[in-house]
Amino acid sequence: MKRKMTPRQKNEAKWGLIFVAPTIIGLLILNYYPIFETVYQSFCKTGDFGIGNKFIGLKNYITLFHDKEVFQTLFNAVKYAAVSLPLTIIISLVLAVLLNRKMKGRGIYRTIFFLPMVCAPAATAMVWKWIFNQQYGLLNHILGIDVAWVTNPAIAWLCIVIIGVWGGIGNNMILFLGGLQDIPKDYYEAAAIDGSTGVHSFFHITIPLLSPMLFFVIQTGIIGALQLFDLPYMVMDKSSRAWPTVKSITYLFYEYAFERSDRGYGATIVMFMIVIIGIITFILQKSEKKWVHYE
Amino acid sequence: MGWHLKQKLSSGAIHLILIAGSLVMIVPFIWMLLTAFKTKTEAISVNPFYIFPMHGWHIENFIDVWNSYNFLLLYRNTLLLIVLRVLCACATATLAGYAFGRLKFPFKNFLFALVLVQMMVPSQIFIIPQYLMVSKLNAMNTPFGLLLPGIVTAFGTYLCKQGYQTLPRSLEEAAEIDGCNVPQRFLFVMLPLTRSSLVSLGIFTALFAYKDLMWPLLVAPRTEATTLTAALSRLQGQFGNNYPQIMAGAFMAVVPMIVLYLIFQKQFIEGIATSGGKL
Amino acid sequence: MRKNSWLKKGLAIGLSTAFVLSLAGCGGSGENSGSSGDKTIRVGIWDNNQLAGLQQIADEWGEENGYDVEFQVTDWDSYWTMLEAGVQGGEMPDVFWMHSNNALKYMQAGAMLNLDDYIENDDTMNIDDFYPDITNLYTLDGSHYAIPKDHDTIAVIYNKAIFDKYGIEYPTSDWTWQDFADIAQEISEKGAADGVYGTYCNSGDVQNFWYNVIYAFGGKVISDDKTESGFDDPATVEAMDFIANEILPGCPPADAMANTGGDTMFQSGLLGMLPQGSYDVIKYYDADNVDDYGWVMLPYADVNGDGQCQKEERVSIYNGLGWAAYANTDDPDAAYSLISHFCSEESQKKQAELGVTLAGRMGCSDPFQEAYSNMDMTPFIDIEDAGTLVMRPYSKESNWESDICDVLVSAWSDPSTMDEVLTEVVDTMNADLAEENE
Repeated sequence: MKRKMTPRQKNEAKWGLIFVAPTIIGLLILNYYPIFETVYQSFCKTGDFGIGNKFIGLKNYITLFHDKEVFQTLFNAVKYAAVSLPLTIIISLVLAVLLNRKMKGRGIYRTIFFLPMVCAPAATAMVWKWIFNQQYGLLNHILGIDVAWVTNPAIAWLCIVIIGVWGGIGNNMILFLGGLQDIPKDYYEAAAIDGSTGVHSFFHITIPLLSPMLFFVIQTGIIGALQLFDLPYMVMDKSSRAWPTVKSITYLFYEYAFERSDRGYGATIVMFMIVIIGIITFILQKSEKKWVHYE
Repeated sequence: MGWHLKQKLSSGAIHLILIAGSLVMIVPFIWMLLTAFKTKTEAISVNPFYIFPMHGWHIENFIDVWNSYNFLLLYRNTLLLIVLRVLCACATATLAGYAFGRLKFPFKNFLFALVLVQMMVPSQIFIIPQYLMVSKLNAMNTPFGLLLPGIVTAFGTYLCKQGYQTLPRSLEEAAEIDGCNVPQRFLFVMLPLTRSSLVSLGIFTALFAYKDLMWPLLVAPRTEATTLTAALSRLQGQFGNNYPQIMAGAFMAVVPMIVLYLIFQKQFIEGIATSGGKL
Repeated sequence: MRKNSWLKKGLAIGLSTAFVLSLAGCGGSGENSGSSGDKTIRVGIWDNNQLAGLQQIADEWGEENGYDVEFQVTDWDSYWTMLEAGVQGGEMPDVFWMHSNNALKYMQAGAMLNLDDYIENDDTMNIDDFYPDITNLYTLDGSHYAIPKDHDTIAVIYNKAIFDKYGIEYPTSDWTWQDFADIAQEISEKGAADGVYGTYCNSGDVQNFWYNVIYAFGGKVISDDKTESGFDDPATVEAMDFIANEILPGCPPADAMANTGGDTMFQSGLLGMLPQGSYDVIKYYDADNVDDYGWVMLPYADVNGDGQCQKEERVSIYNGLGWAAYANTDDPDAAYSLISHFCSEESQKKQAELGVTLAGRMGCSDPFQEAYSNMDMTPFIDIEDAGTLVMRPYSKESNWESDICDVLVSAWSDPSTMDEVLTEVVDTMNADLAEENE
């Protein structure tokens, strides 16, 4: 089947391969080899100090399916995503709509709402932890109450949600703002002539036209909930009874793979995560056709 | 809410909402700064509760943390990591992006699939083996160890490919007729035109390198070798209840990036918007 | 934004200049010690409070021998993660602290330098001068892998202002755990409106609090052969029930304790009494209200009901860190020499005098009593004669300790469930121990 290439094509092929070589070689060494290594490790038990792998078959997987902690962390991600995603989307959408016009101070507002995006979550999380402190925190003093924000299991995860939303709305606002600016004005004018109200055209014009962005935000948001690490790591006290209700599956992985040097089980947790993310992506892609409108 | 509803809301009400929102956004920063200037006893005094430092503004909290954490070194390590990561990512991604976007070569689809699949897999799957590599190469606590996972970037390659694809064919064809070979066409014709996607990639990479916590925690446990973010996480454990010093450290860690952001605002916001804010 | 372009260019140039300069010039500015030796010894510790004193002691040695001694402080959790990684990756401090919880594991893995030959050739070093229990922690098959740095005991710090305010007499050394609990509850009751509590005992406060109670009651945490949990021992159960029913009612709610450490709450005047280790003392001397602080010996448990304190009824958990060297350090002679300096009679006395900790060498701890002119710390030393010192329970990996603390969290938030939780504690601990001995 091989057709002979012209010298010009040959030359192009040569340069094409040379240009992609660094990236492809890097991906093979730094990403593809690790994938296989992690898969292999998930079937092994690791010795003291992470030295030595003993093949133990499916034992890690059997342990995993009986490990309440794994499912608890999964549930934590679900409830985090279920509350933080709608909040982030609604707030940033409202902000985007409000800012999508010529007005005084537009640039300043945009700058302020975007500010947390350029700060290390590790730093802002420490401030929030301090604000939430039960005895000395700003929040309890301003509200005149005595709430154990980050140590009461019923509300601790909501604190993480608040910090997450606070840090994420700027980014989504910018995304939506970009989307809004791409919607031609005459769509709304045409709708208005047809007697459509503001709310009606919001749901029939704005939302469908922003749906690719909404889809993107939802997809990355759900996966992000599983990958949460810095916020719980920095904000939560590991000895509090609220910790199990906030712990993320990525933290669980970190704990086993590195704090306890049980790389085998850590790898198994990653494999589980991959499967979950695969399922979520599959469901989302299925749903995408139903409600996402690409122009 | 089309323009209809917006007209109904008076502009005063809109400003009110936005100002209230802005306050919520910046209160943590103000509180961080106010606490940083207090004495330890002031910060944990319950009754009365101080909003402002009452016993003078204690700048020495900053000095103490600066010295005991060697912030100069932390800034240097972080800056070095950012520069290395941005250079590596931009260099490898723009080359590969150009090839995938504009050239024909064997196995192109298969190789591009490798790029796409990497993007879909959560990065946790790479960490254990990457960590073991760093450890086997004796690269713990070195800039190279910190850089390792960022030498190539599938996401950046994808971003650059999109950038090159949107450029018109005619430009390159004209250059080809003028006798430019592939590297010349890339370097002198195409590359300058994708500056904006490179800036996006650069800002995205820089922010990622600056914010990343788990990797520097793992491969740079030494305080002198680590980054701002990882050092901050130690600060909390080490200074225990000295909240003013903790806040002073947090402030010093966020302030350089904020200053950069305030100056290069447009680029930052565009960079995040085009890279989808996949942070 | 246009008008900013000069600013951007200027900044870009400034930044890159700063960057180049910092790369070029930072080689020497990294070390934080004062002496100007050309060689560096790195020392890993986990307690920031001890840094200043130890740096002072180390710098004496450094100046004499031409070394920079560079301290690396990390908090407890990261410290062990760092050492774990260090043993695998070879990037280890030359000299570091070792703790009973992990010593056996590190010795068996060959991560610690065998010090036998060095000790033998060192005229100033006689291992018998140190507390034998602590020396034993760091001995495997007759070989020494670390030299005791310190030993520690527990005493109770109390806030006189709070006792005065509520009209309660200051505690004396002749008190029982029941007295302690009664006072704590009384303070909590009277202080309810002010948010003041009698004492503070978090589920993780093992060494400074509830381990002491267990052993005073005649119970045990782990069997002598370190293969089984002691939490099904009737005396242990009794002690834990005492914690649940008598101590916890005098403490802040469990969630509040998880929020803020006892030392912080004590310093902000929210706690009446708090058992603390001798290694904690250094946190208190510079507090604004230090004149209100008093120290008193740990109470005893009147197990036989004769109204008097027998020695075995007053127990302080004790422990001691060891100075160890990394087995593959580049400069083992210097590493040992520094350890020998840290453990010399002079340095051990100085360590006590500076109020860092009690000594690991016997007979060197007395200066600790006068380390702080504003606090009398004799209770830490008195208990060595007036009571019994029990080594902090440990095993090869001691993973069970954090695991049982996690399990106990639920008993802390609902003390009435203590007995059920204890059966879970036994299971968890035995499972961990079984895995450890596999």
